[in-house]
Amino acid sequence: MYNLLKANFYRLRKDIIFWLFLIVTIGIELLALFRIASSGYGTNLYNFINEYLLYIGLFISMFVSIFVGKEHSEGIIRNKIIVRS
Amino acid sequence: MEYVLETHNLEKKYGRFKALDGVNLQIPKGAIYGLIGRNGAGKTTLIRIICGLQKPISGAYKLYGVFNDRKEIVTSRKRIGAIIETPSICLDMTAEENLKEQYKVMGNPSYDGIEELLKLVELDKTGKKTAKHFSLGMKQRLGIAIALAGNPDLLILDEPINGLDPEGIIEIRELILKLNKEKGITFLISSHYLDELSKIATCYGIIEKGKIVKEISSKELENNFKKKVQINVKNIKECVRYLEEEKIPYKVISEDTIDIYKNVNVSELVIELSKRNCTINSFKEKEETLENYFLNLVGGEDNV
Repeated sequence: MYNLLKANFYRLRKDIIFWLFLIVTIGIELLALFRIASSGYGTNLYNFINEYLLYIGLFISMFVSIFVGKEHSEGIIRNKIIVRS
Repeated sequence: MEYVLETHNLEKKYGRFKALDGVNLQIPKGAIYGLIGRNGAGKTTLIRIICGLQKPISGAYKLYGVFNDRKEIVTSRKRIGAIIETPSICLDMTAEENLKEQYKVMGNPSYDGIEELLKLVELDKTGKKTAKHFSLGMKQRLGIAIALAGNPDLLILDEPINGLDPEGIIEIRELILKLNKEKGITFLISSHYLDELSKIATCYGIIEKGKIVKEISSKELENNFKKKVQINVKNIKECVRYLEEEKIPYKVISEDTIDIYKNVNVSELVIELSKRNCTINSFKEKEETLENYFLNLVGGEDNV
């Protein structure tokens, strides 16, 4: 179990899409922070969540499906099952 | 004899279709076992069951003396490496990274031996090239390297040379022989390329409609091969008469060609036939191949 997690973290680290999505999300967050800061205290929290936090969830769901799907389509999962099942 | 793998009446159904119908096979230690069968005969299903990717309906198998319903089968299974259908590699990573990932899956604390493995499969000079830019042969070899990551004693290869060029086939063949000789790894190989298989295998299992029709070692097989001599004669009637008299098994192929299924004394045959005014135009010694043997056994006539 621990080893599988380690191996997947290793794959995550080597994944370009992961870094791409991370940068995009951080960019959006920074944009949100900037807008809050520039509009003073008048920003509605609900608006903030609807506009920006939504994207994070979207990106995460996209990324996870790609990341996990790749494991199955490329058949790496077989290596793991044989060793660990 | 010590067996690495034994199966007892393995059965598997897909819906109503019986993929495996009581498979019994035994793989001796140190052998290169060739599994031969048509498409859909059950080769891949059998291999998948052994690797634990599928569960059999009934029957059992023993890996290194451990039955498949025992918990210890997990440790037994760590001693096998497998490539099923396609090499399972991550295409976005380099050869070295792929091996590192597999090492992590195996739980090896250090990366020792990765260089050695890459050298063994001749992928040590690929550097930063990711696996998606590899040729098919390189991918296949990387797949073998990954299968070897856990120092297995049994390597299961399902169609290892499919889609490879002649050079790639030779590379894989030599790699298999090298591993078998130097490390004493037992192999289970399924393939359609019977000629290639007959060059390396020491045992054969012929599977048809989910059953092992025949298990035979390569030595037995060689003895089993009918030697035949094909002669081309002028006067076929006289020749047939002579063969009938001498009770030599034969088969008339065409108007002037006869197959003789016996080790005949050539000079005697020539003298006898020339006495009967029958000249021999040509004389060919033919040896039956694994292909013929396989087709005879599974009744390939209706397929040809």
